[in-house]
Amino acid sequence: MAPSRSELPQGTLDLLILTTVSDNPRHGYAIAQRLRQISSDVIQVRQGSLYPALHRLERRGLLAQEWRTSETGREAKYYRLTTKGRAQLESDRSDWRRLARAIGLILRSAGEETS
Amino acid sequence: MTAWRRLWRRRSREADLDAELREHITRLADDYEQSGLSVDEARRRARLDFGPLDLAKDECRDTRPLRWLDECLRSVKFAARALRRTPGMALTIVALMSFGIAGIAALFGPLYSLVLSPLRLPQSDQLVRVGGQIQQVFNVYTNTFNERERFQSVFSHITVYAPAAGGSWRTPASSRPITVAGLAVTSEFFETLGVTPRLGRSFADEPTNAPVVVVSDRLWRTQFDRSPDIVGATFGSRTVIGVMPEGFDFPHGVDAWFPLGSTPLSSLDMELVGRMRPGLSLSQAAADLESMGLRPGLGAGLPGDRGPVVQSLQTYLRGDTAETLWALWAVSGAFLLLACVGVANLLLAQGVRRRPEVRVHIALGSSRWRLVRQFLLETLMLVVVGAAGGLWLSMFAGQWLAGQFADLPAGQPFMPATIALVVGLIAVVTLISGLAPALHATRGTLSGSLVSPVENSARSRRILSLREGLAALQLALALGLVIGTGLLVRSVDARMDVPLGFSPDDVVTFHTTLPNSPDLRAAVADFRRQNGLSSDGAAQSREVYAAQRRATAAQIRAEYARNRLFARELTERLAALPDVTLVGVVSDPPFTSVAAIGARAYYHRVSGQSGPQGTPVGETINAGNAFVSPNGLDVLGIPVLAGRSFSEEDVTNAFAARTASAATMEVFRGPVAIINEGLARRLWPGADAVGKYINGGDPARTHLVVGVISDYQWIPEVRADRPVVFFPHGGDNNFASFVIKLRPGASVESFSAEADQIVNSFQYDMPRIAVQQLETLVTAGQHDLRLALKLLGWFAALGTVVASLGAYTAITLLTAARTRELGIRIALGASPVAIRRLLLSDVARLFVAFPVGWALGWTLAKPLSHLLFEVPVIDPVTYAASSGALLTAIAAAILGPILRASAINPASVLRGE
Repeated sequence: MAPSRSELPQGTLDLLILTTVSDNPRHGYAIAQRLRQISSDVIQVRQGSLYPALHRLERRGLLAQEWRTSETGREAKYYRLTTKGRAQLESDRSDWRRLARAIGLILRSAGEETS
Repeated sequence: MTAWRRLWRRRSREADLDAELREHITRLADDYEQSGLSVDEARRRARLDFGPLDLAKDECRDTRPLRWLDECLRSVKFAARALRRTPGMALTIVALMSFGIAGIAALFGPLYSLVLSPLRLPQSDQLVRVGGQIQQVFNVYTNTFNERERFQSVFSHITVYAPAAGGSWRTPASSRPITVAGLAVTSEFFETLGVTPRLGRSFADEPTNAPVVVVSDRLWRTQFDRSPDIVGATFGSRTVIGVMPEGFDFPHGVDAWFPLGSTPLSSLDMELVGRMRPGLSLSQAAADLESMGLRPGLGAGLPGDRGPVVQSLQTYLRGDTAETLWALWAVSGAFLLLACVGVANLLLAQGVRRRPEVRVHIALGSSRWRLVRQFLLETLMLVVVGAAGGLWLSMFAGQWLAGQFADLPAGQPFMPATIALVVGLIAVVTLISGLAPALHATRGTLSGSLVSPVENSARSRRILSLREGLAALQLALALGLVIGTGLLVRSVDARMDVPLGFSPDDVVTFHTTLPNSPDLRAAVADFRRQNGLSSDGAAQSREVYAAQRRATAAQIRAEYARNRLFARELTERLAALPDVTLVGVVSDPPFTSVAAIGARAYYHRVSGQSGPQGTPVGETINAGNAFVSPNGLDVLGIPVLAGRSFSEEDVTNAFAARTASAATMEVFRGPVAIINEGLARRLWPGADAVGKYINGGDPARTHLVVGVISDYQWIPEVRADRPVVFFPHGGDNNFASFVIKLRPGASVESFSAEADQIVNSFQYDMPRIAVQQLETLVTAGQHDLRLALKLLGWFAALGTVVASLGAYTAITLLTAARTRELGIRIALGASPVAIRRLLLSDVARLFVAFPVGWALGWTLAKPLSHLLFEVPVIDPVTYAASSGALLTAIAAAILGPILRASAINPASVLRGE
């Protein structure tokens, strides 16, 4: 049976995209695949809605793009992290961790009280 | 970046986006295929997973800045496509708009630089011209204000100035003296205007009669080669103390300014200008001045005695031309409005034709606002193109206008104010002509069937009434406009028809004045030295001036005799020239600038008198005062209607009277006079004037009327029957212009050279004479009228054409819109007669436009009534002619549909063909 799919919390798609391209440049399809892969199919974005996010990040200067030949032999548009993007990723990541830890703490303490 | 590259980049960006998204879908499909699905199924699943491609594209585009620009471009493209489908209508609208905007833009340049732009003087809004009886507040003899302190409560600076008789001046650049337009001013002149000399100093610290002069930049450039040594140099008999900055041209054309107290008291054309203290209003200033005893002028031609007590300098200087330009501008504005209504009508018809298209858009979910926007955009595009065409046309029109008005400052066609005006016009015109049709075309909902061509009759009735309204408005506007311009045309025409009363053919004229003799100059200098006065300049009071005349009476007499001799000899030598038939001397040849000044400044208050030693009787009349030699009237071709012309004996007697009065300040004009018909009619209506006596306000000024001449136009645009009194002219005074009748076909150039040679041979070191042809002067004098006639004529003609075309199209569209309804009626059995009656009753409703148009024309002409010359505001000819023209257009428009009415085939009409 397929695992249940989660709605993506607001604003997190950007963080996920930046993380996905942090090791090496990827094209849109690869990013989508990678997102699905590493989240074990839990997080699934509508394929078409990935691109507006990519374009927005590019426009903000966090991603840079170039066309190159992909492994299929066809031209594809590759996105890579810029220096500015890397800095943004670091700060977003630590923000997220802090938030996740705080939410975890709240959930845990609430669980203890009711038990 | 150029527009093309930007466009190209936009295109490549779109291609990129498309390629990127398609690559994604292809990959997805490939993966599905590899997992075992068929090619088709894999592609289907991929597309499904991806979601709508266009949505994704749109979302990506949304992240771009200037997204709205893209959308605009797309709308523009769409609009262009829509317009291309109806090129005829688009062209008509562009043409209408071009002509509408061209007129208004062409006139705006001159209007702006002449009327709307402030005088090029600092804080010019504070400058006022003081009129009325200024001799009561300013003493021309002492050159001072009677109540200086009280003036200072109103004005921070105040000045009196007067054009000074053009003297002869020697400059380094010319071999003979030149005549310079001079202005005598009081010491605060430049301070009042707020301008300081670029070189040297102003008159502020000079004595009021110092023999100094400030020259214009123009004179400095052309006559002194921009020499910095000019300050301290001698010019005429004066020392140059300053040069004004470039562009300072006040009053227009003056090149030399000098202290009022340093010139003889010859000028009567004085002006008083003050700079109001900040914060003071015109009405406050007027009240203050009136409390000081300044009264409005009597129109008696006394110093400054014209106009209201206080008036902004700008209004005073630009009054006349401004009025004409405003009138023309209003007319062009009305034309633009007419063009707008015409365009609205066309667009409305177009909207009805595009109704099916609009319904499709609505069915597909377009909002009404979006559709209205699209319609307005189409109108805007047409208007913009029209405006560009209009600006282009206005450049030619502007050039033409600048060529017609000699002193019109040519407004640059692309000055910011014009651009602002045109942009504003585009917005206004688009809304006026586009909004109603756009709202109309997009009215309606899905309920209006997509398929059935038969309109819901209630709505079509509404459209019809709107279009009828527009058509009626168009007719009324056109009629009003044609009536308004028609009245002006008739008025100008009537003015042109005023007989000259003299014959300018082959008559030339020039003015020359002998310089004062050394004897007279020496006597005046003696007198001034003995009385402790400065050597050159005005008397300090009326008494001193009278004493000066008494002391130098002998020299003045000798001067008269010398002048007379000079005039006689010059006359004889001119008459001996082979091309000359007759020579005379006149003080004011008609249509010359001398006459223009004389007509304003020199009046004679005359009344009838009971007998040679009698008392004045009847009303006192302000009459022009002029001098003419025995031959003068013959040269000018002014017929003597009763009595006789002057004889040599009259001249001798007048000369004797003048000589006898040399020691006094009264100048006697001799025992006889000639009057014009206009004066004769007013003094002795219905009776013979010859043999009667007139009185000039003094028993010593009793003159026997020896002749009555026919009325003649003395200066342009003035009624010919203006009262004039003529006295014999012996060439003895300074107001001597020679009038010469040449043989037909004689060369004016060669006469000019010969005459100048003769004048120069007297060895008086006089400036070159300027010979003018009377015909040229008359043409120039009537030029403004001719121009106005031409312009208005064009406006009226164009108006009639536009109005008739408008009426024609309006009615054609109106009947075309009813074709379907008529088809149904015919199908239901209506007879052709009934159909015709129906069409006629439609048109009959439009006749409501006529009274509205008449009222409009009246409203338009009413404020211009003072411009109308011998034409009543309700002029039956104009009203009938303009109404007739429109009626013809209406008849022509309705004729076709009426003839075709019986030929309507109901079947084809109902099929929507």
